[in-house]
Amino acid sequence: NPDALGADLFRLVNSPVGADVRLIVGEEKVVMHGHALILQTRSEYFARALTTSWKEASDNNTLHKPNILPSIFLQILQFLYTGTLDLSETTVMDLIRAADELLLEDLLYGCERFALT
Amino acid sequence: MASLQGKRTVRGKIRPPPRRVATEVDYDIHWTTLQNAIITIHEQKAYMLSYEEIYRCGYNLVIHKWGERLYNGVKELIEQYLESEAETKVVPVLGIADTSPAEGVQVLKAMQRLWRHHVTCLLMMSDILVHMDRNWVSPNRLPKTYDMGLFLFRDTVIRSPRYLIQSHLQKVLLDQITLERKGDVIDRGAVKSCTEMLLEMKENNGNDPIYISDFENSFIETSREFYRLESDDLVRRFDPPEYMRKVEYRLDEEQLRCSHYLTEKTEPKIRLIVEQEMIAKHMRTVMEMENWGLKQLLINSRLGDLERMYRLFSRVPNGARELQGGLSEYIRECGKSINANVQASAIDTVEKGVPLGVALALRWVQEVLDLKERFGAFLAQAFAKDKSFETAINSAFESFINLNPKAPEFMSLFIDNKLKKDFKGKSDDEIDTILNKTTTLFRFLSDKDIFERYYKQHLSSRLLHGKSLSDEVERGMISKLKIECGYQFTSKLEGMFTDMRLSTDTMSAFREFLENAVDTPPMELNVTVLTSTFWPVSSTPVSCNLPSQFLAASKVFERFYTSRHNGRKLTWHATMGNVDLRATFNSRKHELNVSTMAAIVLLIFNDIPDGETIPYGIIEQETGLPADQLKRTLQSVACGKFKILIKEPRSRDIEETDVFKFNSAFSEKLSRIKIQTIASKVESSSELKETHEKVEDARKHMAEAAIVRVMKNRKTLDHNNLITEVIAQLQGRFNPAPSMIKKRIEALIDREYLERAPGDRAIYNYLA
Repeated sequence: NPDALGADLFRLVNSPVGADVRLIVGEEKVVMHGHALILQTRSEYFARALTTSWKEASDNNTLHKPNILPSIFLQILQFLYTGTLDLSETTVMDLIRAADELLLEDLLYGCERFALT
Repeated sequence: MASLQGKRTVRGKIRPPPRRVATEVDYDIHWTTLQNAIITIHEQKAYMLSYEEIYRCGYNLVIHKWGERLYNGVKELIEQYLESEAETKVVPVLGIADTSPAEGVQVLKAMQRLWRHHVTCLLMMSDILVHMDRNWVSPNRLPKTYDMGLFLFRDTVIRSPRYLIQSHLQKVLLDQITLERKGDVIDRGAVKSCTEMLLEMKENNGNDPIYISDFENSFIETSREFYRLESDDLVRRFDPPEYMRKVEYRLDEEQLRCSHYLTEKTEPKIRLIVEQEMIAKHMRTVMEMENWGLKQLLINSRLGDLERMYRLFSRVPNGARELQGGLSEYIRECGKSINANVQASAIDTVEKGVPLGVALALRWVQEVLDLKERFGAFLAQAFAKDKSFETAINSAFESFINLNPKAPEFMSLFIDNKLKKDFKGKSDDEIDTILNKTTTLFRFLSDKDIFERYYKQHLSSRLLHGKSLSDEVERGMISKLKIECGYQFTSKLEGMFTDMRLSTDTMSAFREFLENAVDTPPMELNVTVLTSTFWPVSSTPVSCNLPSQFLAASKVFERFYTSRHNGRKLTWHATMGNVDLRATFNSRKHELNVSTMAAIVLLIFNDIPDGETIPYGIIEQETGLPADQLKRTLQSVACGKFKILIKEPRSRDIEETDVFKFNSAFSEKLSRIKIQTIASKVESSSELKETHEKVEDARKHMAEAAIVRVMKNRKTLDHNNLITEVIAQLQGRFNPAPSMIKKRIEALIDREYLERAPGDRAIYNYLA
């Protein structure tokens, strides 16, 4: 059952279980939970950001992301964990901007196709 | 993927979020943050930097179309940094390289520290500028941050236009290697880190490492000089075995050097240098050196050194061929002295009598075999059973063996001796080994037909006189010859065996026949019936007057034989047989086994009273034997070990004035006495001449047969091709001269087997 994998991973999105990354998102500083293994495997941005070189690592893997809305960031997390996302006309432009910044080419491509149709 | 702005075409409700137009102030804010971050990275304090923040600065600059300014700004920053680092950390130690080669390692260490730090910083800068690399650098086909940083290191540090870093670095590396070659222990790690650095940086084509132009080329050149000098020195100071050990050591050392701290790609290049300078240029000198050169190594069977020589020489072009040349020369030299031994002592042979001749033949073959055995060992243990070496060794043997005109006769005599005496008490395996070795020598003979002739003679004597030790071994030898030369070569030899077997059957039938016969012969008779074409007997037997009882006995057999085989003609070669006589002397009786000729002579003495003499002339008349045969026969019964006749005057040789009488006082311990005919085993000169004439004759026939075979097949053929094909057909038996074949062609034209093509005399037609 290939759908089971996505469903199981979906439950890990923003879940404190086994989480080792704190993500502080938006101007309102919403705290979200992340798993370094998944984030670094799925995204080059996180792979580089969470190396031992930077302040993020010395702050116990805390990454501030003030310029992305928490709701959009949550969707990005869902995409990173499960590879799927529900697009809507209201969020797609923000997703495009975030995907571009975070070098998520798959997501960017999907969003642009959605926006053009 | 490009940034969003350029691509966006939006319809319907989806609109881009409003974006403020960026100003110069915005640029300064972002750039200052980034600039400070890069300085912080260089200061090794990146842990103070928020990745997200620095990254976002780069990202913002790119999406506001400041990619180029950003890229160039970063480039400039790195360049300035490297410039000052080189000046403060590397330049001050460069002087050390000029004063002390050993301390030059300080330069390497400074370089290594700077390089390591630079690479670490570059990796972090690549992390924060990854958005720029993707979205601005790649589309503009420029080197990404990391590669750009490597180029900067190459051009500002290594190839600095202001400081002589490149030449110093190169000098230090080469100095270190030279020190190690001379036996010093060096800091291999420091050298390795610098060669790795040079391998990491590429030329502008992005492919070739600068290692080649900034190090390897001069490494190869200085190495050539080093090994040129060293090999000149070593070859003067050490003997070849030691020199070769040193060369091998150098080869190993260079290989290890490449794998330890240079690169595998340099290995074939430096190996070539060592091979050229140390092996190719000196191999002839080494081989021909008086003291422990090739010849001495061979004489002393120094397998290890020979093997090393083989291994080293085989590495260079022509090396194997040079070594093979040296081996051939030595073999020919040995062969020449083996041959000379025989010829020098051959003069004595004529004087001292025949058996020495046989001993010489045996010694010659044994010496050739011993030499072959030695080279067999060299081939297997020193030359890795190399086929080209085997060929060279064999052809050297072939050439000196065929320089001895008696080689075919000697080989046949050798086998004869083995089959008659030497194999007694030897195991089958031992016998087989010896025969195999002899067969390999036989392979080298070019005059195989002459060998065949001698072999036939020797075999016939073994068979007829029952001297062969084992029928099985005889057949074994023949089957070996068959493998070498084919069925044709041995069919007559096998025919001889068949005759022997059939004769046994014939004799038992003859005995049955006698039981019922009316007229029994006056004596027991044993007949061997030979097919005349198989045996080396002349068609006309030696003439003699057989005593009446012999004659009577032979008539009985003739009657028996022709009744069973109608139409066959029997010719009696009485002189080839032997006879058992019962002789009564004064004190006792003896049974004498003598040749038929001796029996004929002795029986004459039955007809005269005891004590009376018979002069030579009468014996010659009575027996009808030719003078030379008679003299030999008389010698065997009157001058040999057993003197049945007494000759007057007493001497070793028979004169026509001599007289003979029966030695009635003869007495010996044994009752049965075998009297050997004095036979010449190595041919006398007249026999030799005869043999050669016979061989020439046979060769003419073989050549004509071959010509006819070829022409029958081709119908029309030009002269040169005909000669070539005929030579190819005959080579297994002997090496024909083209002039001889030409004469045969002319003879065949005379006899109208062939004609010259009308209009072209160089083309022949076959006439059916």
